[in-house]
Order: sequence, then C-alpha cells, then structure tokens
Amino acid sequence: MAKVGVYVCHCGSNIAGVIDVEAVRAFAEGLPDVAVARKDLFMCSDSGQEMIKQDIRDGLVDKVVVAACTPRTHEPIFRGALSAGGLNKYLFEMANIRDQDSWVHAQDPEGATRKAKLLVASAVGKAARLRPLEEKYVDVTKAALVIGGGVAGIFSALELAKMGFKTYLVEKEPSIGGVMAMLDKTFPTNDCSACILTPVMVEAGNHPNIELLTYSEVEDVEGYIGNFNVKVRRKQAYVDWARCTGCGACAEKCPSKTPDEFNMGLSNRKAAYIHFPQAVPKKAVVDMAHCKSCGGREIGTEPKISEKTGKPLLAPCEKACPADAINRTLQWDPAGEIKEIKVGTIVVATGFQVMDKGWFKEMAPDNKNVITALQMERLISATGPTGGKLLRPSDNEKPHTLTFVSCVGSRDEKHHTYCSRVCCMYMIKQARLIKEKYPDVNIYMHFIDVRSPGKDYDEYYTGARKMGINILRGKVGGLEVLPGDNLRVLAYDLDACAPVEYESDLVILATAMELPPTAKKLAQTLGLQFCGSNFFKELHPKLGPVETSTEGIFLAGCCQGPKDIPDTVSQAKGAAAAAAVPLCQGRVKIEPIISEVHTEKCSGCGICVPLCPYNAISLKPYAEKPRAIIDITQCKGCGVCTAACPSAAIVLHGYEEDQIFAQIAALTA
Amino acid sequence: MEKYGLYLGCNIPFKAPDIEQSFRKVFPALGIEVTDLPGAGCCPAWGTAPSFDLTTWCAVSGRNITIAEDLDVPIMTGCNSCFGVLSEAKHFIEADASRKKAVNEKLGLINRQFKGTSDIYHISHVLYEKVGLDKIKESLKYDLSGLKVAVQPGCHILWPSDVYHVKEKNSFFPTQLKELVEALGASAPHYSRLEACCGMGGMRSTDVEKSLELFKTKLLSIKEEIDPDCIVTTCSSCFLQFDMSQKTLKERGEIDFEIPVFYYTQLLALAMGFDPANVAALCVTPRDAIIAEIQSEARKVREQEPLMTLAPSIDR
Repeated sequence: MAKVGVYVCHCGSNIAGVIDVEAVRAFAEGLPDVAVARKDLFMCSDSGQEMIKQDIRDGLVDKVVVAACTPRTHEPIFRGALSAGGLNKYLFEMANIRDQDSWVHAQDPEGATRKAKLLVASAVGKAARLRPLEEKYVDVTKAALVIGGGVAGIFSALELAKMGFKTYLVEKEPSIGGVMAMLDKTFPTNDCSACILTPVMVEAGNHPNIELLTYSEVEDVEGYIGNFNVKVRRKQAYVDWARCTGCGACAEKCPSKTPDEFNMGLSNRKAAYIHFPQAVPKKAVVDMAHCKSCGGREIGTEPKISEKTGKPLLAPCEKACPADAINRTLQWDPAGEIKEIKVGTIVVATGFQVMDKGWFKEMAPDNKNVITALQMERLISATGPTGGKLLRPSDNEKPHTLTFVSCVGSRDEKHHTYCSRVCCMYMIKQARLIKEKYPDVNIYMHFIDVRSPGKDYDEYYTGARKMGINILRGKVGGLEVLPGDNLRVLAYDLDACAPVEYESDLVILATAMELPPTAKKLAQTLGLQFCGSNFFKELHPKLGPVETSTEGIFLAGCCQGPKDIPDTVSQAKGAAAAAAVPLCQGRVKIEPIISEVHTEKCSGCGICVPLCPYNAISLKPYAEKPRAIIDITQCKGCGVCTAACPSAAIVLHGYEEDQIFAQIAALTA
Repeated sequence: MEKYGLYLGCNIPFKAPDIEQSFRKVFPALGIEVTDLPGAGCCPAWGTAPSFDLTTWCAVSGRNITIAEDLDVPIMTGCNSCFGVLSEAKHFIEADASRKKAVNEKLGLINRQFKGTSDIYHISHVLYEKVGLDKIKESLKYDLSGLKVAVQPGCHILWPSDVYHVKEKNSFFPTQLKELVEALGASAPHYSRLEACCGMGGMRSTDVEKSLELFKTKLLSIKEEIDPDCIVTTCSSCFLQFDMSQKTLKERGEIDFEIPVFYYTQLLALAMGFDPANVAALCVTPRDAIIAEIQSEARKVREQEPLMTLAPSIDR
C-alpha cells in the first residue's frame, strides 16, 4: 500500500485568507493511502521543503502531494525536493488550491474549502497510483540560428559566436543592420548610429563562427530543442556574390529607378543596387521586379550580337561589372536556393515595422510634407536623400516651422493600446539635433505626456525645453492642407485649456511600432505565440523574458515588444546566454511524460498516425506486422493518440488510466 | 428606371423650394424616378428627440422609413441633417435587437412595422454612385469650364462614417462633391477648411455670434485661398448659412465681398438648361450675374449635327 504524504500550504494569506487550511489538512489525514498530512506557512520555503525531505528519509512517505499555488511555477521546486530526499521526482502530484481555488473563490470561503478538499482527495487518488518515470537524454547539435540581422540579431549572434558556437545569422535584406542602420543619431548621448553600429556589423561579418545568410528567409523549421532542421531560402540576387566586390559600378550604370526602401521612399535607388553605403556584406543585388532588361537583354538568354562590331550586346550592369559577377546569360533560378542547416537552439530577432501614415486619415496622409519619424531620421542623416540637410519633401526648401506629433497609433484604442516606448525620446532627439543645427527653426512638439524613464533620459528632455523647443501637452486632432502644401495643425493645449491652431511647414508623425505582417508566417513555422499587443509572446513577462513556450526558441529585440537600443542589446545578450545553455550542456532531457505503445496490444490500425500533431508516430514492422511506434524526441505528451487508440494500446506516462479513474472517483465521491 | 422616395425634410420645402424644384427637374432627366413619401414627418432633427431619447428618436425616424418600405423604394434626401438622423436611427435600430423590438412596439400602435428593407441615400450619393459622372457630363447643355467653385459637403454626410453605406475614402478629405462639380467642367480646388463646420445647426440656434465666428473663419479661408466664382454645397443647412450670413457680415463691415451660393442640383439644373426661375429663384446673396454667365450663349455645348447619310430609315 502507498504511503502518501499530503502537505497543505498557507501561501501566506493567499490561500489561508480564504481556505481553512487546518480543515483541509485534517480531512487529508483521513483519506485512504495517506500516511501523514502536514501544513506550513510557505511550503516552497527551505523549511517547508525540508519537511518533505525528512519524511521521505524517515521512510514515512513514498508519494507526495502538495496542495499549494500552481504547478506552472512550483512543480519543478517540489520535484527537486523529492529528488533531494531520495525519491523518484515523478512520484509527485500537485493540488492547485490557490490559482484555481482561493484566488477565484475569494467571496466564498466555505465553498473554497470544500473545493480544496476535493482537489486534495483527487490528487491523493492519483498519487497513490503513480509509478516512477525515467528521464532520457539526447545529444545536441552545437550550433545556433539567429533570425533577423538588426542590432538585436547581430549582438545575439556575436555573443553565441564568442562562446565558441557556430552561428547562422539570417537576414531578409541584402545587408545586416536593420532599423538601427537607418537612424541618424541615438538618444540620449547623440552618438552617430552608423558610427557605433558599423564596427559591430563588420565584426559579425568577419567572425569565424558566424555564417551570414543575408537576402535569405527561414522557410521551414522541423525538430525540437537540441536538434532543429532548418530550411533557409536564399533569394536570387542575380549577382555572383563570390565575385562581387561591392564597388557599386553596376548601380551607377543601371537606368531603372524605384523607391529606395532604406530611405523610406524619400529617394530612388536603381534596380541593381547596394543596400546602403556601410552594408555588410557589401554585395550588389539586381531587383528583377524593377529591372528593365536593357536593350532586350532578358535574364537567362544569350546576348544579341552587334551587326557593326560583331561583339555581344551586354546590359549596362554586366558591362560595368569589373569582376564579372553579373552574367545575364546564366540560368538563374528566380526562386533562389534552399540551404539546409542543423542547429540546437534558435534566437528570433525579427524586429518591427512602423505603422504607415495612410492609417491616419485625419493627418493629411497624402501630403508629402507629412512624414513618419523614420523618414525624418533619413532626412537628417548624412547618408540620407538630402545628405543631411533639412529640406522638406514637397519643394526641397528648408522648413521654418516643424511639428512633431506623438502617439500616432500608440495609446489609441482605434489602433494599438500600448505605448511604443521610444517615440518620446527619439522625437526629442530629432528636435534637439535640428534646433542645434538650425536655431531659427520653430519646433512644436505635441505629447499626451512625455515618457522619459531611463538613464539620463529625463535630463535629455528638460534640456530640450531649455533649448527653446515648444512642448505642448495634448493631442493633435488633425491637419488641414493649405496652399503651397503647408499644413494647419489643429491641436489642444491641455495646460492652457485651449485649442491651438498654427501653420507648419513639415509635420512628423511618431507612428506606432508593430510586428510586420510576415511575422504571422514565422510564428506558424516556429510555433510562437502572440501577446495581447500582437508581439511575440515571451514565456513569462518577468521571469522568462527571453524564452518562449517552445523549448529551444528564444526572443530578442522589438519582435517581443517595443524597446530602445540599450534594452534591445541587453535582451539580445540575455537571449544568447539562454540559447547557449542547452549547447553548453551538450544534451537535452526528454520529458518522460510522453506516450508509449504497447506493441503486443497494437493492432496496426494506424488511426493514431495522422492524429498526432507532432508527426511523432509511424508504423514499423514488429513480428512481421505493422505496429505503431512513437519517436520519443518528437512526442510532446498531449495524449491524443492515447485517447484515440481503439485497442487501449497506448499509455501516456504520468496520466495512466487507473490514475485518471482514481481522480474521477475522488472528485465524484 | 430606378425609383427613389424623396424625403424632403423641412428646410428645403419651407425655405428653399427652388432646391426641391431642381431635384424634380434633374433626376427624371438623369433616369431616376422620384416618388413622394406621403405623410412623412420631421426626421426628427438634432436638438429634439435625438438629443434626449434614443428609442423615441428611432421610433419617429423608423416611422418615416416605413413609409418608404411600404412603397418598396430606398429613401433619398437632400438635407444632411435628415440623412444623418435617418441613417443613424436605422443603424441604432438594426444594431440592437431589443431596441428594434421597442421601436416596433411603438410603431405597432399606429399599425406600422420597421423591417429594414429601405436604404437611406443622400442625393449626392445617388448622383455619384447611381447616376455616375459620365451620365452627368452627357446631360449638360452648358459647359462650366473656367468657373472656380468652392465645395462644401457639410458635416453630417461625412460623419459618423461607420454607419453610412456610401461614403468617402477619407472623410477628412472628401472628394465626391469636388468630382461632381468637376463633371460640370468647373474646377473645385482644395481649400484648407473644406471639412470644417459652417456654424449652422445647433450652434446657430443657441449662439449666433459663435456661429458667425465659425462661418467667417471658413468663408475667409475660401476667399483668401481660392477666391471662387461661387460656393456649391449638398447640404440645405449649409446653403442657408452661406446664403444668409454673408449679408450679415457685410452689413457689419466684417467682409467686403459676397460669393454666390448654389445647392449642387441647382448648378447642375442650370448647366442642364433648366429655367433659373424654377430651379434657382430664391437667394439673399445675389447670383443673377453668375446665372447669366452660366447660361450664356458662349457656354452652350455644341450638339453634334445628326449625320443624315448615316441614319437611313429602318423598317422595324
């Protein structure tokens, strides 16, 4: 007969404030199979755990039930106590009398106490029938994948590489650098963004442990922590990167123009182009969607021969290339190529996008002089479309009055309710940089309130006020278009309690940060979840900020939520450290709470095979007949096959039939 | 021929019956049959039931809508307030089953029932969506090229856009009336306060001075930015404000100009060649000069001579 020990926790007043703990303990004492029943103020404290260990050592108990908070956070702690006491840690069952009882039935102490007794009886019924389970281990592929080559991805990859792990860094654009490479300067120190980022990009590009896979996207991920098989599609660049030296001669000669994504559409780039001057790797790409196939020089065809000279007529780009990297006669596959890699862990650092101004109909979105803050970054950047001169888009004239509008799409129930966190600070930065360079420019900034928590941030903001930048509290209701493409700003000044109207030459909208629509597909591929704000969801908002609910996959940067560069780099390094843990351990534990087929009972009907959501079941010959077999590395222990098997041949360890029926019997007694 | 129930409201028949006449002339000529809604009452206007009892509002509006339902026609109205009130009431009735029940209990007392089979249109929606710009262009007898027009769509045709079936792509920067005016050959340049309130409605009833202040701001934006030959609106309330308040401001010495004002269908009727004595007879701000200009010999659209040789008599 089992000797079950029951330990009821007060959880301070969390449980004891509602539930009569002593009554539950006394009730447990009278249950069949129960050897001892005790209570403690905090069962998870050292003294509480010691109580369990001592009872095991004294031979009083051989199964343990703790009635307390929740297995979500505390099951591992009590299992550890069982191990320390010398008992198989799977001989443990938790009764959740806090999250699912005292917290939800705070108004009904009597009913809550009754429910606690039932939950304890049910847990005891199961515990008495628990069997020891054995943990298994598999080896880990000692390599990592980082998805996204912005500042977060670069730092994650560098940390992992420096720890000695082979790291693949996948970036969808031709160069790494992300949004930070587009910024002019950075708050609160006004460091030039490119100056501090470029050396790090180069370091990542040159590191022997980092393999850059730029102009590439993750197509498919299979496997599990320790052993992921990843398919990466490298988009077709139509340039032989092994030969390309990044000289830019092809871009110089290319006659096709299209809006430049790096300059947020404020200028044009060529169809043959280099992403930006400091690109890493500095390689050219021919954007076939915008290529004019000069002189009928279609890709993948033999060149026409000149009647005059007898020489082949080449396109300007291939003629210009001194390295023979562009050969339009070759049969380039427009789908690019698939590269298959094996990694042990994955860091997702895919970043964000800023909302398009088109969403904000009241803000004259069709007017050229209404721009997003990221466009403003390009407009004041030395590598931007104006070479760093402040010129407004409609007429390339210097604006005299500037307006900054905060919370455009953030903190707004019509769009996103969350705060994008960085807008107040980068707007102040932009305003300060402009005011320093052009003291005669009038700057108006409209805030709901200024949010400047961070080291030296508030000083940076008060400094802006002292520089003579006009800061108004209150929202901008809309913009009206005046002749000459000027704008009338219609706002409210909360401090003066009065409407404000004035004319402005250029309006900058701090549009909200959000996940790009492509994030949905990646989430499906990786099994990521979304949080309420539609960013990728971390395992725990406080204690698991870089982990996800999929083991072996970690998050870094703005794909997890809006954050500034210091926070992004911190999280990136944290994610790298967490992602390195399984690689360092060299093996990962296989959870023993998984399903197993009793082959002799299996009829080989195959019903379970398509039902398994993890493709863990296959039919294999056993005594010359097909029988189901479960791959322990793929099984997640969901139990679908167990419930569906018509021969009752599949057992889910830790949730066996007699255990479940004992629970039901206790609950319905 | 598509048939619409003409919901006149109060302002148009009582204060500007020439606008009503313009409807009755232009729509049949453009292939839209206009039928009356016998017994239709007040919409009821803002400031009455809509301001204090939602269900009563919906019942009174619902009664008007059921008259069109009985005739199996959609409603069209030329008054922005009527359009807003009827559209919103229809929305409130249909969005809430308990309200619909309460409304039908009240309507049951007079043996009526709201079914929701008649849609609500503004006359400008019928012109823009159903008639279409091409058909309007084909119907013109006079070409308005060179005329500059300030357009005034008014508020209640734009807002609340969520409850309207026909609506602008961007209610803050409306373009439908601009396109309707341009279809006549005239130009309709943007001015900054295009979407702004004219000061009519509740404000005019409660504080004339504030109403005039709003109106003057808007009028000066029109005059200074585009200096048009006339102002064109599709709201009868805006029409009254623009027509009567310019005189007030001028008498007070606050402005030294007057801009003629038309309801859109009046300008359309004139361009289609209808008699101004019928379709544009009543105004405070003078408009004789521009009417004469519109219907001048020089603006006549030259009809194509029938090519006799290509039109043989055919026995059918």
